[in-house]
Order: sequence, then structure tokens, then C-alpha cells
Amino acid sequence: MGREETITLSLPSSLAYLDAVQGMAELLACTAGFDEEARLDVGLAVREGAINAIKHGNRLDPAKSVCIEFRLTAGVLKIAIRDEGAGFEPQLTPDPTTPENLWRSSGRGLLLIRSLVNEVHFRRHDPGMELILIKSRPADGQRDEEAS
Amino acid sequence: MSRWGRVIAALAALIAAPLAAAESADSPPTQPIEFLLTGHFQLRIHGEKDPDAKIYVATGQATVLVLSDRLRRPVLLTAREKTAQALEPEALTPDPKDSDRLVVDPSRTLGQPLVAKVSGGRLSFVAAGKRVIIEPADPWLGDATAEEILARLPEQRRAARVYTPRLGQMRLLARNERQLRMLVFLGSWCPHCERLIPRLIRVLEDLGDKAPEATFHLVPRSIVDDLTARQYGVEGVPTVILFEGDEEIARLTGDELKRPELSLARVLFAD
Repeated sequence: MGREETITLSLPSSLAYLDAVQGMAELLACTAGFDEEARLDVGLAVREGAINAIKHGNRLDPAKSVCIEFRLTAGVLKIAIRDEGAGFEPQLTPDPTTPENLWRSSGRGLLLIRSLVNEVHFRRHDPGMELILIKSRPADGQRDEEAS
Repeated sequence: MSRWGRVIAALAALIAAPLAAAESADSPPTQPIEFLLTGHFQLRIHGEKDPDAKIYVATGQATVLVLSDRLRRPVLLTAREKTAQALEPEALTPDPKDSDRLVVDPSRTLGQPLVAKVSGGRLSFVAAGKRVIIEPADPWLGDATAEEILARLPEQRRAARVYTPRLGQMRLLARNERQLRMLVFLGSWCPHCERLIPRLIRVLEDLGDKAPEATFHLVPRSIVDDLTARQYGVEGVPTVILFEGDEEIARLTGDELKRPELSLARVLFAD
């Protein structure tokens, strides 16, 4: 792929579309030349990001939507997942691995996402929150360095 | 017939091919052959199982090497020769870096080749006056530890050695503080288990004291005959049941174990 291409999805705040979102992410990762494992990583990361946006961002409000933008260039896939919620401070997200938060579900998805892609960024909007995921195609022998 | 029964049958079919084909076959192998230890077969001598026998299969060839103290000499079974041939012990060169691997010089023979016969998916020959049978290994049943599985099943041991869990999910799992335990259902006869369970074992090994406590339960081919499998409603292998206390929190099956570290991370860290 020589030039940047952008694909945008807009979906209602319903968990019913998660399989479609994951499938689309894996398909686009395939188009970007990622191997099978990396495609699965991308699909799961986008799925988790969409769950966060739908559940915690839009609070399942059917009047709000989630926008997912995929930007493909050679070897790099950038995904922006934007909700219309009140937003949050990423630094204040509770650490789900500490004993006091073992039973809280919020925040777990972000840890998983961080383990699946190379970079995770947040951008506040008014209203809404944007989660930006960057996945690079690893060079040979560098597969395990990417998910740190 | 099981997969390994079919392998024996295929080997047997080659060995049992018409003599005319043997006469037109190439000369006996003279190049060194690489063998890997296998847990798929077992040896019987005069009907009695020899638990200490070691059976190796050649990589890329329908050739089997049998080592047993009771046979005194290594025996090489080749499809091309359709015979069982005793070898000089010096024909074997162990790999100092890999105890599962041997290189064999097939030209260092002892005595005349023996005729191998095939019957009911078993391969047999008579050596030193003893009737020797190579047959698919009996299923291993009951509970075991990961260490026992790796010690007893060479294919699983090698598969565990080459699997590299993804660092990102392993770091995540290492942060887990929940007290988990795992019940793993598998079959020593099951090719999917042979591919996937070593990956799980490798993940557990790499997690060290952060790994859930794991019990491995080996079932027969007819899973419904296994009381524990019935008790937990397990209908196929491999199946991993994850518990927190007495509560089942997740069940992983089949390809979910292709990347076990990822599946476990999803169980523990997905929203």
C-alpha cells in the first residue's frame, strides 16, 4: 500500500455490533499486510476500545454513536475510536490489578489494549473522548518487542 | 482407527508392498538419518509392554528406530527396505544439545535384515528369538502435572520448547493478583492437545509463581467414559476450566488455546 487510506465507521451505542467491528478491524489489518497474530491483536484491541466507548463513554445511550476511523499506510494502522460521552482522565483510571480494584471491571480493557498495540493515546473532545491505537507491522524478529 | 493407528497402517502398507517393488527399490539408505523421540508408539516383547523402550521416528521418512535393553541392539525399520535391521550401537550419534534427537548411520548394520509383518495396525518382527511389536501407545489416563506431561510426552516437550508467549500479555498476566486455579482436560492421543497444551504449559512455566495452580487431567478417547469429564460437562479436548475459589470463571477450548496467554489476559482484563 503506497498511500494513506481512511475508512470510517459510525455505529450506534450497542454491543450487538462488536463482532462486526472486530471483523472489520481484522480485515483492514490484513489489507495493511499484518500477519495472522497481529490481525487478531488489532481486532481485539478495537473490540475492547469499542466496548469502552459504548459502555463507559456513551453509557449505552442509543442516541449517541461511536465513530471508528482506520488509517492505513504501509505497515502502520492507526485507529481512532471516538465516543460522545463525558470523557475521563486516563491518568485517573484505577489500576485493576491492585487488590482494592480486583472486582471492578472498568480499566481492565485498557490494560489489555495496551498489551495488543504499539501505542495508545487519548484525546479529549467536547463532548467525547478519543482513543487512538497505533499498530505497526513488526520487523522480523521483533514481534515481542511491540507489545510492551 | 486413531491418527497414529493410521500412521502405523501407512508405514505398514509401505512395508507390506509387493516383493517385486522391493527388488526394484533403491539401494539401502546410506546417508545419516535424523530421528526424534516419539511418544506415539509403544513396544511389546513377547506380549509384554516394555516401558523403558525408546522409539524414534525419522524426520520426513517412514522410518522407525527402536531402542530397548531387551533387544540388545538398535533396530531400524525402513519402509523402503520393508525390513527390521539390527544396527551397531555405534551407528547412533546422540545430539548433545537435544536428548530427543539422534542421528543414525544406516550403513552400520549387524547381521541379516529381518522381515517385518503387519497385522491389525501393528508392526511386528522377530529379533533374537523374541516377537517384537510396535503399536500405537495406550492412552495415558488420570491426573498429572505439567512437568510429568513434558517428561513423558516428547512431542509436547518439544512443542513447549519452541513456543514463545507474547510479552505484552505475559506482562499483563504477571500483574494478576487474583487467586486462580486451572483444570486442564487433554488426551495423550489427541493431536490438537499435542499442538496446544504445550503452549499453555509454556505460559504457566514462564509465569512462575504468578501462574494459576494447574491440574492436568488426561482422558480416554471416549470422553464420556471419564468420570471427571462428565462431572464438569467436558465434551471435547483440549478444554481448560479456570476457577476462582470454587467458582468457574471461564472455559477455554480448541483454538482459544492457540495463544493461551492472550485468552487468559482476555478473561482477566477484558472489560
